[in-house]
Amino acid sequence: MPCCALAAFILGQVLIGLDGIKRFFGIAASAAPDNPATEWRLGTVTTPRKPSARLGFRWAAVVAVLEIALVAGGTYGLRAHFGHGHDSNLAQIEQCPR
Amino acid sequence: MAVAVHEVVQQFISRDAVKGPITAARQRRTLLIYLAMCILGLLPTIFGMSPAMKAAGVGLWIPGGGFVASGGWAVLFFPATLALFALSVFAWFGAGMVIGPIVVWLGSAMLAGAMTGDAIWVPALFLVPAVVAAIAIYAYQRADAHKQAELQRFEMRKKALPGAIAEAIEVAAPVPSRNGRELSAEDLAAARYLFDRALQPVSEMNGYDKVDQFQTSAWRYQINNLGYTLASLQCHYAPNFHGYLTQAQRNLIDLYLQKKIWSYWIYESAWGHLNLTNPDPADKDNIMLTGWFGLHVGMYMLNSGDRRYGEPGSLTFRLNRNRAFPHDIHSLEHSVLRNFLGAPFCLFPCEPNWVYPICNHFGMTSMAVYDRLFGTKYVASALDKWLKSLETEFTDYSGSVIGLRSELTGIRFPFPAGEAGFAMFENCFAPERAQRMWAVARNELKFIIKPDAEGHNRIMLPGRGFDFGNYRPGFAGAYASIMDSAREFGDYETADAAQRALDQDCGRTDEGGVLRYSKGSNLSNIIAVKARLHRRDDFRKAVIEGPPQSALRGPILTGLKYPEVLVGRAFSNGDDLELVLYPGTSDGTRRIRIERLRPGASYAIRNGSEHQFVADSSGAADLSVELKGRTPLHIAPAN
Repeated sequence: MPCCALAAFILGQVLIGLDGIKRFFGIAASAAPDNPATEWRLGTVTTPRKPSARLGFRWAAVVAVLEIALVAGGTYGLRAHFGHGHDSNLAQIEQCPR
Repeated sequence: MAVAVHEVVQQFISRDAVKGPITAARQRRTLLIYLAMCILGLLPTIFGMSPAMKAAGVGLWIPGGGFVASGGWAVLFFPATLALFALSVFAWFGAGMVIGPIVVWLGSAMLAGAMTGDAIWVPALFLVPAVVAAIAIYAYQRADAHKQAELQRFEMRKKALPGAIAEAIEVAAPVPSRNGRELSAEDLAAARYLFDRALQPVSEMNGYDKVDQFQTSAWRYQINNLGYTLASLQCHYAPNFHGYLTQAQRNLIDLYLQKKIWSYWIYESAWGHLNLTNPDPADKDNIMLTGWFGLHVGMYMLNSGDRRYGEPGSLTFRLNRNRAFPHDIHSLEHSVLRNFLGAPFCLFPCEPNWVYPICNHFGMTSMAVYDRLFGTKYVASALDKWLKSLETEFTDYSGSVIGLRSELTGIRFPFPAGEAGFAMFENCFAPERAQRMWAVARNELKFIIKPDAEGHNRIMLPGRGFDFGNYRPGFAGAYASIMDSAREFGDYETADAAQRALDQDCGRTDEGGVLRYSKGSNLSNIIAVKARLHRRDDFRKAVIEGPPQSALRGPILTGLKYPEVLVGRAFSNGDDLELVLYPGTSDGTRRIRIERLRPGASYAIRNGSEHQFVADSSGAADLSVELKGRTPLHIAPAN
């Protein structure tokens, strides 16, 4: 129905893929999950459940690992780059592309 | 609306299943640009230019190809660039970021050039073209297989269509009369899901899904669908109930005008139109706002009789203290019409460059309600060109309307777009076409209607489903959308099968007088309510007819407290007022207010017994009524 269906479809595929990975590691439910947003009522008597903090920690851990890997890779690349500069002679530098 | 079989079959059968001229021209232009890039990329090698230039040239053949020419460990950047390119394409159609793929492609070529040493890795000159050729052959074969499958489907549809249309017409229930239409207690429980969300203080968004503001889960679609449903409820069940029903609809309109709802356009116009100075959301493109919101506001105006959004500046999108974009229903609809008439495809984009036929259906429908409100002929001035474009540029070989096409490149994405969704909108402005589309949809839905354990028909869909309202697994949106369309065309058997599937699969929960589906998104829940209240031609009538003049002139019910008093029916034949009320919390005496009575006139209120009262000088009266379960009341002049 609504607009932008393809984008949603592809995002859906990505999320379903992620869901598959999560299920592989045993951290996802097998059926459609309950949606806490629908629990909310005006003059509420029910309080919607907050998203699981455990899941937040898992994602934070994944992001942290990625960040560490990126920073480590970047640092290694810079070290290699400057190391290369010190070891090179002028002729080699002149031949380097712009 | 009744149509004859022969009126709707012929056009489909004689349709030319060919690529439209604008699509063909855009695709040719895209191919020529690509060929030019390939030739340009080859020139450094032919003329023996520097290795950097050669690698950059190879990078023009395919994103990241230059890294293969750089050789060594840089080759690893090739798949990484392809992945990044795919991501940038996603950002392109997801959020209109036209510059994304260009930056990644050209940027990776330049980076590869900068990383190349004394010489390129020569095999790259053969490997990269081989990869390009392999991708091209694969893409061609897939496209051809897809085309053949669509042509085969077209032939099957041609054979089935006359019978399918005849059957769809035969099973269709009659258009319901306004007399006696009322919401049941269960309908009211479903409607409370809407009121809970719409009656909270404007700017609070409790009970909405928040994922992203670009795609289908965006708040704007949840708000618009709440608006459509409440406007339809007003039209068919309670045109003479104002009070919290109209307040809820105005709250939604006010909420929509808040920057957090439409600010996505600030980004999209910047990275899609390269426009950093004028993010007016109702200027160029953005039919996902003008079309959807125009329909929302127009339906409210038509079905409530409230004309405030025709005033200049009544729909002002405020960017900050110093800058605002003043609009009203006139400027919104003028924007839709101007874009239709000015766009090369006639249909125009949502996100910069991406044309979605479904959003253009919202746009055309918004003009239909505007024409009804103000007596203009916007639909008539654009419809022929629009339909011709839809049939030639946005229809696949099977006769289905496609999901989307890139305005810049002419590329179509092979996403299935159901007939049922389009049919409901076309019922407002092209009813013969709509009937044909519904007949096709219905004929193909038969394969997924099967008996449940108790022998009742229900819809059975394969897999885990996908909810467009929160990108989670689930069928609530699909079932609700099928039910909504089936009801519009009077096919209550299919609608009931969808309702049963919803109740069985989607976590139906009745708590504290509110009915909801816990396994659906907010968007799907709203559509489920809309579908539940829907009867034949309801959407069409809420867009191109509205309530009768007697109702728009007659007395109105106001001054109720939500959820103390729920309204199952409020309808006037001119002088009187028919009400069906329910206690929302507990039985007891409740205050109600009636307005638009004749000042100083005597009225009688009947509910088994009869009591008389006199309207005050402003034509209003405050009454106490005893509510116990379903409470019908009739208010009429005392004589």
